[in-house]
Amino acid sequence: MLEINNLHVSIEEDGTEILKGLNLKIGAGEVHAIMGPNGSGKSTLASVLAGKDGYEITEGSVSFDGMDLLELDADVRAREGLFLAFQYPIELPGVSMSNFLKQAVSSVREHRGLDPLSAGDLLKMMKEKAALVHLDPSLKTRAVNEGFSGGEKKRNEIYQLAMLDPKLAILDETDSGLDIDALRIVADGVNTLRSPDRSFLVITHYQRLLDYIVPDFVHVLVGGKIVMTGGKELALELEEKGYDWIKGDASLAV
Amino acid sequence: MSDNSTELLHKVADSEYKYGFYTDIESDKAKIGLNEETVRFISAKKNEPEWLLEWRLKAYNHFVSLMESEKTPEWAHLTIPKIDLQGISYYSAPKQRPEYESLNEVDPELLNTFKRLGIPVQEQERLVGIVVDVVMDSVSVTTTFNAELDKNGIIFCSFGEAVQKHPDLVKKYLGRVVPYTDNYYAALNSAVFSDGSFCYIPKGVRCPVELSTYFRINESGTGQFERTLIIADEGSYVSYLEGCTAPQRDENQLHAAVVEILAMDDAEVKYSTIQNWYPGNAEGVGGIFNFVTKRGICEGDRSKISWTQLETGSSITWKYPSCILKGDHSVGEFYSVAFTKGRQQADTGTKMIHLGKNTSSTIISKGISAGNSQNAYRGLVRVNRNAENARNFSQCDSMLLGDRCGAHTYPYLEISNPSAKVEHEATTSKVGEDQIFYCKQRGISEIDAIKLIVNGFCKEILAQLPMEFAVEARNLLAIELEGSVG
Amino acid sequence: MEMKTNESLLIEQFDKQIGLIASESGSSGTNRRRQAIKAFADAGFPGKKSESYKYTPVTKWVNSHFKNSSLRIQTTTKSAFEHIDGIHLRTANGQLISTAPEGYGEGLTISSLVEASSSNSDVIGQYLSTAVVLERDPFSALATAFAEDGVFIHVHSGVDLKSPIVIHHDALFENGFVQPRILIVAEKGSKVEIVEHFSHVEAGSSFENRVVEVFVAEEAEVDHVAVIERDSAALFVNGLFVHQAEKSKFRTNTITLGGGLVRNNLNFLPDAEECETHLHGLYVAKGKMHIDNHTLVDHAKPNCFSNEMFKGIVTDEATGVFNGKVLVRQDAQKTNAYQSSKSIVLDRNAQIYAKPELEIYADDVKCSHGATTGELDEDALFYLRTRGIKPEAAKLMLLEAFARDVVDLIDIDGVQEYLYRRLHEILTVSA
Repeated sequence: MLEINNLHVSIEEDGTEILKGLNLKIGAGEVHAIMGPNGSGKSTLASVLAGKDGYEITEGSVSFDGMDLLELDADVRAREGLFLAFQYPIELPGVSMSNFLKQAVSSVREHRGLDPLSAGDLLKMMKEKAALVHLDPSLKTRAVNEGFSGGEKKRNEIYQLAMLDPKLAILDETDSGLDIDALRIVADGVNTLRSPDRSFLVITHYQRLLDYIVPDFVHVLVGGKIVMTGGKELALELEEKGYDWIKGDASLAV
Repeated sequence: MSDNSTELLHKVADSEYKYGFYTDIESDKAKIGLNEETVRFISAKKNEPEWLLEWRLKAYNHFVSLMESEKTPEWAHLTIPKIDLQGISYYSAPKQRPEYESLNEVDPELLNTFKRLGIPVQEQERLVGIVVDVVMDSVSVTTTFNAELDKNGIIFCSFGEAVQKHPDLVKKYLGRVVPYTDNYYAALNSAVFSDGSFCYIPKGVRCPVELSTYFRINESGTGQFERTLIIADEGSYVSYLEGCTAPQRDENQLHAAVVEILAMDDAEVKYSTIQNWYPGNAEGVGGIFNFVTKRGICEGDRSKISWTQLETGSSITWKYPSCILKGDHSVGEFYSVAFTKGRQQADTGTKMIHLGKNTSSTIISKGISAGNSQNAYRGLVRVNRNAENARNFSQCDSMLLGDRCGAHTYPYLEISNPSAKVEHEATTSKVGEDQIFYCKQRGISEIDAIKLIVNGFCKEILAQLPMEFAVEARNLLAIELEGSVG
Repeated sequence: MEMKTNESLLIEQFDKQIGLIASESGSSGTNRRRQAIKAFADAGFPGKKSESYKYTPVTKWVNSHFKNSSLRIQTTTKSAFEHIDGIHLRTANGQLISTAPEGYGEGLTISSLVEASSSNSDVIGQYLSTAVVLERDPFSALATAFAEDGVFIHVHSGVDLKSPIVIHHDALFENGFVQPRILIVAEKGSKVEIVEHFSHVEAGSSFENRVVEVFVAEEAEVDHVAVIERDSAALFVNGLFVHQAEKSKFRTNTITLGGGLVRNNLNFLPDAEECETHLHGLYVAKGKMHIDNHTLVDHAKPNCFSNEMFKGIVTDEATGVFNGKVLVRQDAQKTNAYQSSKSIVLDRNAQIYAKPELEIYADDVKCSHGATTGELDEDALFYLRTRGIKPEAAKLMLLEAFARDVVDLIDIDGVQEYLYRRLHEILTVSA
């Protein structure tokens, strides 16, 4: 599904290197978690995979479903099935949720050779998917993320994930700023969406989220590199011992 | 607002000028009136080279043509009485320009003047921090010496001295930023300027001390037309401060200065002004007409020019310290507090002209009006067609103290490049009664509460001033507010 | 001052016509015309030094559009708002050509101004040409001196017109110069909605110089929309003067989508306490269009509220100008006045000039203004693209959202839908 080889990424503006030879392989249907201290490059990885400007890839490659991901424009990546749930969802004053989703869903479907949805079917789908994350159906008339509470914004991201039916979903710190109830709602939504042909990359600082979204693999990102990989129990160990434990041991990493 | 506080505001608005003394020093004045002979007289007095006289004469002729077609600037929110340019003397120097070996030799009357102005001339030699040039009426009377400047190759002297000692530099840069054709008052200044300050910071030098000029109009029946030229060569840094005062007189006196700044690649110039010219009395009699052209050009890439001003004086202020952002990634800043009371009128602001790529500018202006005064912010932000990724943020806040004054905001935004992001915000408010009450409930007197609130209002600007002067500025503002109270 | 040909010609013409005009407008009307031509003669057409036309040079336009040909355009355009359930009127060359439909309701008088000057002489005498401030703009002065016929709308006291009055401004003289006038008087406690549509007519270098005067009496509410879609060769000067009495409400939306040089001079005088004034506007300038919105809210009395919002999109080689002044006079304590101007520049050959002004002489007020210009938000574009939306579609979506802010404020059925559709058409090409 996704294969990252020796990825080096710098910030375009000042040349600071953030990712320093990152390797990662995600198979179909797998759930991977990336954990790491602040500033280790977690969000940069998410942004680079989604195709945000402002980064320079100095070395390495990323293949997604057999394609060279780095060659694709951000919107094409999305249509190919790569979804990013933003850490800080953007507000779009004046753009209604329904108009926004209609356009998104139809361009994704068109790209995948699917027939356009009728207005009725789309509406039905919106209702159905919104229920997954307990979003009020009246939100479709509201502008995207404008005036949404922090929890609503995060749930809205998962709602859109459900609408766009991606092959790979990257959740960038989706747990940040959520209380325990909201976290559970978000996690339940994600779990419902797990399937043999959909992979997840869950980026988080805390282990907490992984109690609800149980990963197949846990990677530890420190200083722009994955320094340790293990099963879900690694997350618990990290929680207990803290990142310093890894940092001290980073030299032993493969 | 309660009667009590209204009364207080009136007192604030009518408070007296504290720098209104006159120094009895013999002076050497030019014949009254403006003509070609005046220009030649000044040039001869200053022992100037031929090219400078020619430049002055060109400026004079241009000025005459402007005068004949009555092209005085009229767009400002000001009521300017007709100024009799033939009724003033264009040159007035304390007799015999003194050459001092040390400050001990200086005319004690002059030193006394400086002391009353609060200029730390005497302390200068033992205290670090400030090198001062003093321009009285038309000429520079003393530039304190600093060995450290010398060591670093920094030139800081009177304009007249620079013409004699560094003619190449002066010739190369004079009029580069403000040509004599720029405007009415710049043309006048170019023809008759008598002195001013000159400053050159060599490549890579970070000027270790604050450079400072104090301007003082002393004689009656004179105008002051000084010229300042600051050149910051590649990678250099300088912080420059000017202060201004004048005696209390019933007549209006004209101050038409020009300041030019050039900043080369990676250079930074910080120019701060505390302007406290005599504002006239509460009825609007007397006071200085302060018509000044100040402009800097960020000539080099990554250069920065920052203007900070505290304007409390002058009967009329017409002044727009500006930045031409020519170098890529260059930065322009304008921070201003303008306080007007009595019958003062101020129309001040800035121009940010974005030419280079990735240039940015910040404008923060705070206007406080009291009494019967009129206080206007007028600022231009222009983004030219090729100025990619220009950024500007402007914030102009006004505060009204009393119901007989005016506060106005006139921003001009001229945008010709789609990648520009320009934001302007302005608000108008008064000191809230609930704020005053809150302060009082904590034991703070009403006047102190007003001072506190006004100071808070200006805080971000005053913080831009060099530390020594931030204190002076706060005190000045407090005195202005306090008026006859306390 | 040196008088240019056009100006002296006009003044000459005025002197010749005044006898003729006098017979139809009575002596007070004639006096007003004389004052107006004097104001025009004093000012002349705005030149280079005019601060209020700093960004809108009119000399070339005025010279090339000053013709007096009288070839009438034959075609009449279809009204875009036909389907609106309302009282429909039609003008050609600024003159009312359709009589108001039968049974349009009690308590409403609609007629041509000429007819009204005899049938409603007292109302005309009291109001006509009294809201216009002659010194404010030479074009308005000129239009007042030469005021031709136009439309008179009088909503009687206490009448709430449930359906809007829709005026379709149709055909123009080929290369014609017309100076039509509209007078709207909404009496105490009345309510009326007025929609004006300036449809696209090809009339060569036409020059429309119009003045609309609106009097909103105590507790009356007037809701006004103007949609301007004239030809790219047209010079269109739109003078609106609104006078408000106590507790009245006035709302206007000026939407400019077509025209060569369009100058909207919008003037508001809330002349009593507790008035509410809302002025909104939107323009899209393409090609070589030059659109200038010049507004003045003159707060003269205490406890009033005004809210102003203008948005503009400029592309190609077009120019957009916003110059809005909020004036708060000394007596106007407790004024709340807000002003905002937002523009988007899409092309490096396009320009935006904004001059939002606050002039404040009262201390206990809340006033603010903001102005921004820039391109579309890159983060928003990126976000849309991560959802698979193509760049052009994303751009269009954001542009439409930007414009909608203003259109959404229009509360008249049928108008919003039309504008959404038009904006979609216009912006699709731009995006």
